[in-house]
Amino acid sequence: MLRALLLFAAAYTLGEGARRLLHLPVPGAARGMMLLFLLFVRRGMPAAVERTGRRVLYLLPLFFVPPGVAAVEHATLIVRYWPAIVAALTGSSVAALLVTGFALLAFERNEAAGRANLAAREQE
Amino acid sequence: MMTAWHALAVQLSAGPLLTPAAYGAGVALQRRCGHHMLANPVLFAVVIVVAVLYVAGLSCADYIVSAEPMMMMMLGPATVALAVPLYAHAGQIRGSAARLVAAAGLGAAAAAASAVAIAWMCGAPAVLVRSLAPKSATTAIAMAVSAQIGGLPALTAVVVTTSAIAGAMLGSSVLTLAGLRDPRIRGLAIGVAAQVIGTAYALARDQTEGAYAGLGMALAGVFTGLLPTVWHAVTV
Repeated sequence: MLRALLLFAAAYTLGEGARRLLHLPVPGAARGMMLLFLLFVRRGMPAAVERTGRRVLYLLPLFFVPPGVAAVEHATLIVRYWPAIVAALTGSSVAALLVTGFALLAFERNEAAGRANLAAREQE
Repeated sequence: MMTAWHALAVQLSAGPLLTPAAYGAGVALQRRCGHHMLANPVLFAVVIVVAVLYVAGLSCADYIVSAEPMMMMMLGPATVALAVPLYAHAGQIRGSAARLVAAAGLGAAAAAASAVAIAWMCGAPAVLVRSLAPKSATTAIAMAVSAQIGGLPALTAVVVTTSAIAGAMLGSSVLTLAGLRDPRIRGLAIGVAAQVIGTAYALARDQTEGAYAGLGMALAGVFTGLLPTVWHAVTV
């Protein structure tokens, strides 16, 4: 458990350190996550790390309570621009659903057509 | 004397005690509501904290000063743990990986671009537009991206949660109306649009849909993490 926590902290420190030293735009936490993912791909994911990771993630929402309270301080911004916020959130959610769905559908059809083509050619 | 004692009590208890207590109450309330999609433990906890602060005659700033250093110190390493589900999901998709990654990337890009375009057209100020842009990532990644591109991370946290609830509620009907019935396609789309809340909802419907939603959520997080690079390239 302690080792796994140390691994997460080390990956974060590397990601955040690289961001600050090299003035990179991608956030340290996202960078650390990708770094750890690449490490898992190369070396596999130990069961203990997976267990600790899932336990930490179970508690992750706890960290969103203070920002949620802080957002109350931005209430004037939210109240003033709520139609823009609602429109942007609804519109972008629908866009995400349709673009992801139809893109995958198109890729799969393309793949299936390619495979059928190949089979037809082999028959000739 | 009284004020010094008062300030000490606030600093010691507001963050470290009130936050887990309120979140615990939020989780219990969610259970009481039968894990309904609208019953979000974080939103419950925020309401509880604000109510307790109001009754105790404290300001939100008192609480944030007390809670933020501790929370921010642990948030980074905890966010890195998202690599665990990402790797677990990556294992299931060998063979069709490129297609899934490309579709989720296009979806996440469409979400960010449309959120920015709509907010901007509706006359939202720049800081609000920047806070809305990373809404397709999990809250932790979205907050980090928001800080990086000059948004308000706190506002982004609320936006992501609200948007995920909306996406999970809309998702199923929108996909059915569009004629998309394959559970793999539906799952990936709901994961990109509605993160954890959408994934929980998809999992309740269908195992395959749930697994692909988890994958969509993870991929949307990775692509949104790259957003600041694009943002700086476009705005400079």
